[in-house]
Amino acid sequence: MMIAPQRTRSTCTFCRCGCALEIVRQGRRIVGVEYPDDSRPTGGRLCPRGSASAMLLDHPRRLCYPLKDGKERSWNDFLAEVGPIVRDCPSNELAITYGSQLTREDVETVWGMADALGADNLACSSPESEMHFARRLGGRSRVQAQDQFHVTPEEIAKADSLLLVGDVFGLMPVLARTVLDTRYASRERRLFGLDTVASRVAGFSHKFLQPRPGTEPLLVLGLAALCDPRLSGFDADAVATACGARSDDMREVATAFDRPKRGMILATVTSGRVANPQFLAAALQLLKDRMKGNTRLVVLSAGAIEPGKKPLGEILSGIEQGAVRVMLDFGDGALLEYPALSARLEKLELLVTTGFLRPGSTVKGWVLPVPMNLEKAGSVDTLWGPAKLEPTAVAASGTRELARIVEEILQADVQAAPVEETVWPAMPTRTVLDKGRAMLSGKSGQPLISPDYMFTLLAEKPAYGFLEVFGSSGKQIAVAPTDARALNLSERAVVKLETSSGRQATFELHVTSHVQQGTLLVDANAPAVRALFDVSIDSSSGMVTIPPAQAKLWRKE
Amino acid sequence: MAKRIVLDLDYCIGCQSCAAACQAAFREESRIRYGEIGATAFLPMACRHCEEPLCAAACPFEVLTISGPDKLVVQSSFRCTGCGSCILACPWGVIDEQLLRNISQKCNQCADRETRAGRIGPRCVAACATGALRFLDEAELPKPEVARRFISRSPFWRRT
Repeated sequence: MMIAPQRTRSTCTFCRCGCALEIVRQGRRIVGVEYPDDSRPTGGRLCPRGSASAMLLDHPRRLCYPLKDGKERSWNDFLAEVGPIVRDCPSNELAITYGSQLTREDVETVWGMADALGADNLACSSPESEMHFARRLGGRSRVQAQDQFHVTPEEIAKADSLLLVGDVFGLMPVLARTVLDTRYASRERRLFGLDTVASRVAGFSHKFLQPRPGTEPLLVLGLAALCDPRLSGFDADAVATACGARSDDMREVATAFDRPKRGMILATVTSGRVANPQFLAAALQLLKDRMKGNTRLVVLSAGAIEPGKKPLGEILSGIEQGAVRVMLDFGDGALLEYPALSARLEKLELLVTTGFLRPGSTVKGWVLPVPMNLEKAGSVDTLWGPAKLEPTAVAASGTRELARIVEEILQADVQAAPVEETVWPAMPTRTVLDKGRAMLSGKSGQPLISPDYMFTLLAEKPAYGFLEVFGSSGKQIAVAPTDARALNLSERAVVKLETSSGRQATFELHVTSHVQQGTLLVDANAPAVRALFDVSIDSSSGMVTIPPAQAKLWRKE
Repeated sequence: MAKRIVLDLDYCIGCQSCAAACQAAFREESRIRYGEIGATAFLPMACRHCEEPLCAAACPFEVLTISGPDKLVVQSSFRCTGCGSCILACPWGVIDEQLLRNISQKCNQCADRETRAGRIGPRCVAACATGALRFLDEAELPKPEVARRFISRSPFWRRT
């Protein structure tokens, strides 16, 4: 007898767009994903990450056993070995981290565990720049900064001028509909883009500002000076020259955000794209404050979870110095995504991480299988506000809920603890201006092309390449036509790349005017590509970022 | 005229949600092709289900036939030998080789996707992140609206 298909609605949590989706099941078998057109505000539209949901629920790489050093072990082995170590570990030698994709309830459980163990080394482990970018805005608490994390389609629709900073359409394709409807609503509406790569926003923008890599904050400060002439030292022509932009375009943007216009800045940062997200965040805050019109700044971070009690960089430094011996990472394996970051964990005596897919390479330590968000009930924060999750499928065999893992490790009931608000100090205005002026006068800032290495290597993360569900990505490298001519390379030539830290990879060349001269663009969805990027820890803030790399390129013989 | 997939170039951002939805549903390669014009125009292209399909004319084994009230060009995978005649004949380049089974594959407008009320249209249209793809018949097609704002005036294609 044919079993009737059942549909269960939930919310996609692979970014903060909070799109509704339905998982279709026949009995326990996942049949596919459906698009509920009566859902608001996204109307059933889904980007490739949402469409991948059903494939991920029963993915062949789905993790169903605990792994130790890459080998399958039982849950009893794990508890017998790890439980005593964690329970007996001095609290200052233990670090607990959590990922950005967890439910609110999961995060509260992790905070409860940290409370029970007295661990102060508690941090969100997402190394993604956009997370830290979001936290560094404004220096206000989350309650005060609600307007920076949440927005409604109606509010976007009211904006006379929109400035999209970063690859907004790449991060949240579904948001593009609202933005484009606003842009097409009348001829007076203006849409501007600002990114180092002519991203998908470029073709829809009235003006697209494309500064050289590393100079984005300076360009933003130049715009701020045009909006408020009292901000001295940022002459538009000088800033435009330093950034490789056009001063007329900058003036047009500044005019569009003048009184009495209603403006909106939607900003995001991609790992491997922006050298200093903290500086860019502070510069954007300053720009928003100096705009005379009624302008809002909204951050489109991939996740927006409390950062924890300590910056992640501080914990990583503790591991380096041998002060932290044991680490429990309750996340989606983000720490292991970037090899430069996971290499810093090698000094640990015990590493326990969680994930729903089998890691691409052997992890030294334990990897525990946990359910995906689509298999849980709970609540998450989205761009449009809080959303509820419903379990759309029975949790995959062998996985255990985070709360159960915590209780079994501690051999006691753990009370979920309220997540404390952490107010991260913003970069002081004086520092922002000093850094900007120094960059303009050429006293600081790294050169675009160093004498030894020709190119700045930038990353993008198109939604279609998400977890490589739809096929392997990261095979192509984009280069400007002028550079291709100079190197005598043609489209589809096989090239070899070596970064300044000695990492190598092979790509197929794609010649495009999307990228500027002296820059290369790669798809960082692929693990081999992420391995090309280094990790930097800011000494003053403890912020972990993944900046662009320096690389040279030649034809593979 | 039966319903067909229509693309509004003013809204397509090239995110490939359509290709992902197709691939997720059929668990094989996407049946919707994807191309770019210059730096700014994106073209997802599915089978147009032509009134006089050249692919059907080229097929030596009558694998491709026009079927049903919607006059869809449907393919009988069991009879396809993978000769590739349809791939070469298609003027839009939207029929591809299914590499695993060594037969050709093409869009069937998600004929399997239906509710009690009837067919609800292709998944690529439902998934389209910006609503650029629409499923319309000729009467519904607001011709002056589609690509109205798409005017070439500079090295970038500008939407006025």
